[in-house]
Parts: sequence; structure tokens; C-alpha cells
Amino acid sequence: MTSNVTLIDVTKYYGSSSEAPVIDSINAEIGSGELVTILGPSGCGKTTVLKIVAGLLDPSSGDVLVDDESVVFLPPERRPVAMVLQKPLLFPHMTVEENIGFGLEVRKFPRAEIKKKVGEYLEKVRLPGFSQRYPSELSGGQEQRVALARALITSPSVLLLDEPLSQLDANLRVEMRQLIRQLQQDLGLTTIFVTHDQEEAVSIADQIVLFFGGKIAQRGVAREFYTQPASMDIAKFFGTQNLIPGSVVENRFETSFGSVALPERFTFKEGKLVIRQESIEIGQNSMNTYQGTVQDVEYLGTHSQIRVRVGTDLLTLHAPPYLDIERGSVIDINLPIKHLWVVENS
Amino acid sequence: MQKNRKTRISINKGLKIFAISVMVIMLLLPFIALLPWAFSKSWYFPDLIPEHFSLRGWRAVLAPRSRLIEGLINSTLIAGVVAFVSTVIGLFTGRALGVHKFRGKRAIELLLLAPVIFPTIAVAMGIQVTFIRLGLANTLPGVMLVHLVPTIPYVSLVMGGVFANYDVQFEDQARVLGSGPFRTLFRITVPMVKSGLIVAGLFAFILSWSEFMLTQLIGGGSVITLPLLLFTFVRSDIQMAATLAIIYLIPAIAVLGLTARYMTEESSAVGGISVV
Repeated sequence: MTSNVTLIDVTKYYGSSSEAPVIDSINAEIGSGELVTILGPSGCGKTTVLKIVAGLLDPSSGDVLVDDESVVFLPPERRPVAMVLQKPLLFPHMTVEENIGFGLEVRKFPRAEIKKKVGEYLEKVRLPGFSQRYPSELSGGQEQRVALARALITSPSVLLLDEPLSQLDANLRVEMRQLIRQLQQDLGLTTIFVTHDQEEAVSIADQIVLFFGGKIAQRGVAREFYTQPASMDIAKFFGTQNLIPGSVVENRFETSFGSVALPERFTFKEGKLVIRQESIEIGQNSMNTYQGTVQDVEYLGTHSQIRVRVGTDLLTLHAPPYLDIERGSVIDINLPIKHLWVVENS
Repeated sequence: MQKNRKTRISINKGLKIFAISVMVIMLLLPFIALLPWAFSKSWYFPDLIPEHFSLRGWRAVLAPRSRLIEGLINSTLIAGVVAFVSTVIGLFTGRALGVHKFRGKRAIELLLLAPVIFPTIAVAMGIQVTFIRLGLANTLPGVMLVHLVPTIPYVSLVMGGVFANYDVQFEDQARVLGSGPFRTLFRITVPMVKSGLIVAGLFAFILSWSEFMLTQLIGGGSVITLPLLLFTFVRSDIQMAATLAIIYLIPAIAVLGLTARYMTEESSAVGGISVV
């Protein structure tokens, strides 16, 4: 039942084509049974991509394939997709049962079967006994779960989720994304999940497609965005605090505090050395150890955030919370070679 | 603070009761004044109530000669069809006005108001010439068509207000769940604006029900409606006129009563025209 999705050169202009496109030549493949998140700041064209796949928007050019067949000329109701939007959008004049059963009702399923399947899906989203309620009697989280059940019951080949958790509070969001992930894996459902929350994207996705300004900035598994960002902007978007200026010389990187050994060669010269604040270690090692002065210490419970002046650069690192480090003290810090990465100056 | 709020609430409540009383009295008093006329033989100054009661007015009105039945049927038929047609049209024009932003939207809104602003007589004169040519003058369909001229703008503007508070994403949601455009219209859009449609339909019904000038001009005396009969009687027979006025008011009040709950319903969201 599950399918793969391919986007070929999908471009969308709103208004005249003299303006910059909202999304520009998007090429992407989403494998069968995969959960891919489209991550990006608001206004980067994420939702536009989803609406084009759903058929709610026509692309200005390009093609969308589901199971290697073009779907761009099909109206939304004839595409093998289901979508959950940011707002639950439960039909206010229908009960929970009628809402969830809507997709089956339009497909002319017999009443008894609809009732049975609605019961099953209410169990799946952990809302048994809610069938006769009206949407106005539900909480935000319950509404979104009903919306999810309503989409899943149609057995779509592809599930599209447009920031479905953004209107829920933090705890509920975590619970819901676990539920979504679990259902998605149980059903082996090809899913595109749009979000602007990187934590959400990282926790749920098989693959992340990062969108900046209507273009794909980077795609890969979550870890790569932290350890091997493709650009400075991406490193910053994922919260990397250490971007040390300098230049690449063979397999070393020259900085204000000395030469740093790199794990591999980079083709460009001027750039920034990237290392996660979690990856810098305190203490000496055989390689890449430097001395610095502690500028300030911020105790954050789970860790202490320490800023250290090394050469003319200021490095941020996370120390274990039990470590007592005084402001002004001189410490050794180690940049483990396997966590180093260089991005080109933008 | 607490006390202050309480007094303010009770003042509000008092004002509300006062406003409702004024409305009821203003609406009911003229109606009550009709009753003595309708049931009297004669009623002269300075009698507070008529000296002699009689059913003469009723007998005369209900006699076949009065053409009451014909007027009643015509009025109901015309107002019903006009209400239905203009509501259907208003559903789409209102949706376009409320949901979409487009160039010249203000102009179209003003244009919609034009038939309401221009003197009816001027509008009707032009239409009459055309209708005579088309053979629509002096016919029931002709009268129905001309009644649409004032009702469509009203209904469109009411529905425009309703659709301004409406989220089209509900329709998108229905489409991606597999519902075609027609099913989406009848299963999602219409139920969601139902209260608005009922109120708009009621408006159209009442407008058409009480229309005199257009009916007179286009119907040319061949199409008799209640307002036409009423007008005739007012000049000739005050008892008959009062009786007819009561008959004339009853359906309007009945329709109002049946639909009142949609007017006050919060969800009706009749922009700017919300009652109470």
C-alpha cells in the first residue's frame, strides 16, 4: 500500500514570474515507508511543497510522481494522499465519528464498515469512547488526534503532515510526535512531515530535507546536520556555536590559536572550523589540545556552558554540571579530530 | 473592583431589557392597533375601543371576490422562489467576496449596492421596457426576476460577512480526504454557513414579500400579491385593510420565529447584522 514520492524540478511562483519563486527547482525522492521531514524557518516554502504534493496548489513547472506516475494533473481528491494541517480543521457540524469516517463516506463504504473502522482508528489514536462527541468538546491534543485518525483511515499511500503539532503545548507535542512516529512505522506509511522545529525534525525523521529560501540547503540523516553542516547558515540553524575563522592548509586548519588537525581534506581555502559545543572536551590529549582562559560560566542544571578565550577566539563548550570551573582560570581544551568539520565562508 | 463590575453588569442588563422592550413595543404596538380595526364595525373618535364589533372585515376579505387566495398564493410563490434563488446566488457571490482578495473588490461591492441605492422606480422603468420586449412583463417569472434585483445584493453582502469569518482550509481538508468539489460544497461549505444562509434567505423572503413598486410595475396588475391588495383596500375599506394586514403579517412573523434561533446563534456570525 505504501509508495515512493519523487519531486522533479518543482518550481512555484506566486503572482508574476519576475519575482523570486517561492520554491525553486526542488528535486527530492522519498522512499517507500520513509518519514522525511521538511525543515526550515517560516516562509521558506515548506508548506508550498506539501500543498503541491497534495494537489491544493499547482506547480508552476516540474512534476510530482507517486510510485513513478505523475499526479500533477489529478485533483486533490483523486490523489493517493491524505493530509493533516496545522489546525485540526475538524468539521464542526459533525461528530468525531462522522469526522473520522468522512474519507470512507465519500468513498461510499457501507455504514457498518465505517463504524467498525472508526472504532479501530479511535483505539489507534487512544481516544476510545469519543465517537459521539463534537469537535467543540475536545481539547487541542484530542482534536489533532482525531484529525490524524481521519487522515489515516483512508489508507493513503502518502501521508502529508503540515506542522501538525505547532499549536500544542510542549509536553503534548512530544507525546503526539511519538504517537505519529509509532503509527507511521506500524503502518509502514510514506510520510512527509513539515516543521520549523529542529528538535521535532531530528527526533522523528528518517531523513531531513532542510529548506532555506525555497531551495534545498541540505538533506541527510539528522546527525549530519549537527556534525557536517553544508554551510555556515545551516550550522547556525542547528545551534552550532563554534565557527572559528581561519584557512585550510592541506589537512590542517590554521586558526588564531594554532594549527588544528582535520579528519579529511577540504577543497576550499578560506572557511570556518565547526565544532559542536557538546564535542569540545576539557583536558589534554595527544592532538589538538589548546590552553585558554575561562571568560564566563553559566550553570544550566544539566550542564554548564563555559566560554573560553583561546588565542583571539572565543569558544563555547558544555562541561559536566558537577565540574567546578572558576571564572578566570586557565584550562586545557581538546578538539577531538573526529568531531571537526569545515564550512566555506558564505 | 468586584462591586464595580457587578454594577456595570446590572446596568448592561438593564439597558438590554430596556432595548428589547422598546423593540417589542415598537414592533407590536402597530400590530395591536390593527386588531380593533379588523374586528370592528365602526370606530370613531373619542372611543377607546370600538363600540360595535363585527367580522365584516374578515368576511369581506375571505370572500372569493377579494382575490385574497390568489394574492396569498402569488406572494408565497414569489417570495419563496426569490428567497431560494437569491440565497443560492448569494452563497457563491458571498463566498467570492468573503474569501478571495482581488483587484476591484471594493468596486464590485459598491456595484452590488447600486440597485439598493438607486431609486426603485428608476431601476424598474428601465427593466420594464426590456421585460416588455422579452415578454416577461405581466408574468409571474417576470415579477420573480425583478424581485431578485434588490434581494441579491442584500443576500450577497450578508453572505460576504459570513464568509469573511470562514476558513477555506476546511474545504482543502475535505478535498485531500477524497471529497470532490460538489460533495465538498454540500457536505462542508453549506452546513458550515447554514445559519447565515437561513438568515439571508429570510431577508430575501421578507424583502420580496413586502415589495410593492416592482410588482406593480412589472406585474402590471396581472400579478396580484398581498401588498397590492393591501394598497387597494387601504384606500377603499379600512376594516378589510386591517384584516388583510394581519393575514399579511402572520407568515412573516412565522418565518421570523422559525429562524430566530439562527440569528442569535453565536455561530451564525452574521457580520455587522448580528441581532442581540
